[in-house]
Amino acid sequence: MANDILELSGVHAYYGDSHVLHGINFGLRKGSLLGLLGRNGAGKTTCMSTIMGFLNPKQGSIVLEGERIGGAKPETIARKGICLVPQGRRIFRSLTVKENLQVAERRVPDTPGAWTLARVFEIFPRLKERQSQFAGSLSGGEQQMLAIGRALMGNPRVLLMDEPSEGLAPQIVADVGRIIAMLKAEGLSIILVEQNIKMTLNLADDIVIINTGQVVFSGPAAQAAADHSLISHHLGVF
Amino acid sequence: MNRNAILALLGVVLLGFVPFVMDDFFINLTSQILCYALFAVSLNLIVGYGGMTSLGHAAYFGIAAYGVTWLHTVAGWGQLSSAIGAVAVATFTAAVFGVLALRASGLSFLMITLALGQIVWGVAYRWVGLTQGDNGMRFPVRPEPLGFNINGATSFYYFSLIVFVVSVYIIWRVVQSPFGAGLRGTKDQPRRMRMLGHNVWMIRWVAFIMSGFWAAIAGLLFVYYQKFVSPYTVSLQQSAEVLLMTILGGAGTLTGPMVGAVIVTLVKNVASSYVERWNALLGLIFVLAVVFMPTGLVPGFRKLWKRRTAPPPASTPALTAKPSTEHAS
Repeated sequence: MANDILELSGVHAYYGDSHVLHGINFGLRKGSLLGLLGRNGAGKTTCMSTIMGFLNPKQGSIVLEGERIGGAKPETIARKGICLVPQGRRIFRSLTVKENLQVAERRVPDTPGAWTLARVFEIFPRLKERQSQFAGSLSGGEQQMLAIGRALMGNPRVLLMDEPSEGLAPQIVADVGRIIAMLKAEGLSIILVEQNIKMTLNLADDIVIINTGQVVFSGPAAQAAADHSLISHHLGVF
Repeated sequence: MNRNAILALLGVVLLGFVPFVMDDFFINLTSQILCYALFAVSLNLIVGYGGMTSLGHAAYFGIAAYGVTWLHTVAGWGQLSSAIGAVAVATFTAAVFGVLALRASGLSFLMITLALGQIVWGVAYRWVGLTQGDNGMRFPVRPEPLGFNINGATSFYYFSLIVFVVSVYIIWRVVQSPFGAGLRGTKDQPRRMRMLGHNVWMIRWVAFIMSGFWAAIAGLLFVYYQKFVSPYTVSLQQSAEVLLMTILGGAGTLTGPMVGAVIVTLVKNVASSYVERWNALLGLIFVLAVVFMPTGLVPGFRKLWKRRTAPPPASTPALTAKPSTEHAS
């Protein structure tokens, strides 16, 4: 669609001979949050890896604001402004909190509201307190904040978040939800991959459900939330 | 000024007093330690911070030593231009070898660096017309930096100390810079670094070249100290020894390789006077260090120190509340 910042059209991806994504189609509207749902092994993380360039799509196209990025190197895609909060956080344990953020910095001159170290510390004061500490010594919740802060330091045009609530205590999950809502309110375009269906349905504008590497639903979040049979059929729970 | 800066300053001041309390033999030995410590710190850039274990690092050390000797004694260049030329050749070699070695990682990287190091050793040993083969080459006279004569043990020691301190300070600044953080990041999680927009190969290559450059500076110090260079300088044993220094002291720490250089050089030069099989002694020290302090002596002792000085743990609160007795009756 015309106002899509990121568009996947007929994307097929393989792990070796194993066909994982079967013609994925969806678009992320600029400034919106798209929730990508699916059971374990449905292809959500593969979808993220393909967008980030870790997996080359064999067919189909991935377009970022009119520019085809499918098949480009991960570092090229990252420099174009697609940033990922990876599953399992994957922070640099041997670097300090501050170094973790600095190493991800992508300066965008003359951009009002650009993400800087000071701004990340503003929304995550806990990280500021622990800036000289090695990241490996942070708690799970703090590591997740750091992973989000690190992605923001790349000044993303599109933010991909792969299961940011995984393994966190309910209180921390609520904090993560609030942060995602705040980023969305700032106008950031976000794709949120989650197992936490309720949180995703609450936060998302649009929902895409993937099952065995195929899109089985794509539409407004309200429509997905209202269709209990859809959710229970493809995700197993509600 | 933080605690580490005060300790570093104290260390430099103490080193400054060495000539006042030691005889010429030990002053020369300390000069040798400074040279090997710089060599080990240079290797630590790629091994400790970049996660690239090399067994060919003596190549850059030796090329600089051979280079300055050849340019000065055969080509007739001046001292300064020979030194600059030799460091340039060694750094260029590191750049070329880096391109070849960085095609692989892990064990394959190690084997490629070993093979490249052996090529350099082969040239030094076999190309007699260029290097005088096994006879080695003599470096006739030390330079006179800024007009100072450094032929004596004490004056050469201070020269080595200045070169060592300045070099280590620059290396420390590099490690603390965003580039250094990026290098450590590539060791930690190269895939994530790519995801953040970094060219991991380029970071590793630049680190490899820097490492070669500082090894070349150490090679200059070595040939000025020994006034002689032979194929042993570029041998596998030399590469293995500097790797041993780095790992023994603690790769990934600034002071670890220096501690390793002190131990290995002392065992080689002092303990060897009393112990015939000093190689076995060195091996024993390494095995004990690996068994009891696998991350190296400096991180190992740091951990022990922290454990001894850490405050006793606060009493752990009960996971469940004690049943109240107030309303028992």
